[in-house]
Amino acid sequence: MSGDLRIRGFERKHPVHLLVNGKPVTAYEGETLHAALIAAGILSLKTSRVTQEPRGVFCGMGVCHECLVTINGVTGIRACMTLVQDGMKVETHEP
Amino acid sequence: MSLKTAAYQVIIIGAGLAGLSAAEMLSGLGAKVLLLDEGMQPGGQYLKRPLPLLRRLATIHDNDKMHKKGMELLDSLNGLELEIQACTQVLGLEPDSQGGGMVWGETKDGKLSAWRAPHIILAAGARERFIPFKGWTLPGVISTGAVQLMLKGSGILPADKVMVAGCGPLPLAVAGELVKAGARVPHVWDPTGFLQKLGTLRKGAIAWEKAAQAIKYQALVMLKGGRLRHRVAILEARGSGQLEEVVTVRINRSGKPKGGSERVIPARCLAVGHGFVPNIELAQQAGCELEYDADRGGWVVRVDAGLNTSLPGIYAAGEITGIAGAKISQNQGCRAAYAIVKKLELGKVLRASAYLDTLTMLRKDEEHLAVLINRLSIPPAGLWDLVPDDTIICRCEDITFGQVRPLLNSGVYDLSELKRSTRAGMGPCQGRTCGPILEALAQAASRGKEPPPPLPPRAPVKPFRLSALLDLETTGDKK
Repeated sequence: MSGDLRIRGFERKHPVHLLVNGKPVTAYEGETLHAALIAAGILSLKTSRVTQEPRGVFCGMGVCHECLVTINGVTGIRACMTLVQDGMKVETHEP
Repeated sequence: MSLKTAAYQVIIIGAGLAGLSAAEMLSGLGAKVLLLDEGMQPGGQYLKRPLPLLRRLATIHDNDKMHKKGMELLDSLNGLELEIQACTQVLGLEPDSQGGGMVWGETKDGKLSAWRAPHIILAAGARERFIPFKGWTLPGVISTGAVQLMLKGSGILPADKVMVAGCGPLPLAVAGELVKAGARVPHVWDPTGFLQKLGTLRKGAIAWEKAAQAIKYQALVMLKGGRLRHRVAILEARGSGQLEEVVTVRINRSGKPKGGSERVIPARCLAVGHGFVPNIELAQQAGCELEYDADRGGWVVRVDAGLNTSLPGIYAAGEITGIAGAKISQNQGCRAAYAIVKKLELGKVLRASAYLDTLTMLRKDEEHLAVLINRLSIPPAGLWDLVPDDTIICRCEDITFGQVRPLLNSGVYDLSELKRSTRAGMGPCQGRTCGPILEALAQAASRGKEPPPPLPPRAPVKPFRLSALLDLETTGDKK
């Protein structure tokens, strides 16, 4: 099992609380959602269109659209282009 | 009815080193400039840093001369009357025969906007190139660029133990950065040969400088017990639901696998990348002419010495004119800006000229180095033969090589036709990931000197929400 993936010495601001698939996840202001999800051990983010296989963060720069999640009810948002926000509700694997 | 547009003297698309350098010069000389960028804050991938900016961490944020210069550039923007729109996705560019044209896109608030200027600088940068292998779509297989941006932007490791594979300058750099940040990197696999790398040292001091950097990264990896091996390719990534193991194979100079050299290595995270691809889509959509040059990263936007594209008042700067790194991007940004300063007759041309003299001069050897690095980023051609039929080529539409191969075998090399026939390239990334893969496959199948032209993008060049259309501000007759 992996330990804490947050790099030591990296200054962080306030903690923020997310709900990912109904479960609480703590992240820090300024973090990108895809990184915060990986730090929480959530690698599988969407289901591929045809073969229905799990997909996760790949390009990390807004190109590949493999990290699409639902945020506060809005589907198809790139986690890698989104900053975490307190109270954010995230759902993975939604059509 | 048309979109209501805001007018500027200059619109710059992309706030990486090229765009920033251009914006600083033009805005500093009093031009009315709009700088549009997709990222959350200006700086592009090269100057990626946490938001909000807290203390930079020496172990993960580079502090070499070029990065320092970039950070100074960002600081200097604060004193300028420059309009920067971050989190803005440019969707299209309609050129104007008089010069420049209309740019439109989705802004931070999810609305569509349009802007017009007689001078437009395209500086969209680059993305990564990938060679697919079976299982490369598994969660846990991530790009080397993604790893670097996570480290620098969020201070988060992709895993406590990361395998790195690929060629070009990024994989080894990322491996070194991971180790510095506290991760373990047991293996770095490079499909190219070590002797090929050594050969670059003949190109003089600048190559030695880069080699010294590479050796430093390699030493970091090795000090922590990691191994760098050349002529090793990834055969397969396996796992149920996420990555569990990686299968590697030794290859010869031309990329042919050595039978019996397969190894299965347990892994939760594999970072991959094979050099860079210029982000030419917007320029291409606007109608700018392209040209092919493998030594500049493939299809690039054609520019003249003044960085004019084939369209009047539309300039290109940085990686979209050829993959060449930070220094050349900065230099081109300034040169494109200078061309506009002269045209706009800002009355301070002399000052701009003096300013230009203080720039890093475009060193010929810097260009040579870029060529060498691009050559090292091209994996041996035989690697494409390792791609089995059940490997996904287009990640968005789940199209496999097996679906594309019969068409290639029957002589269909045109990417648009491949796309129409198979749906490869029709998903939300709009062929940005599979396009270069299809190009390489078609080139290999046709045994051509150059690949077929890239997929022709149409506006909108990126997906956007239909809800953005609902509250458009328009002018003219509403019918």
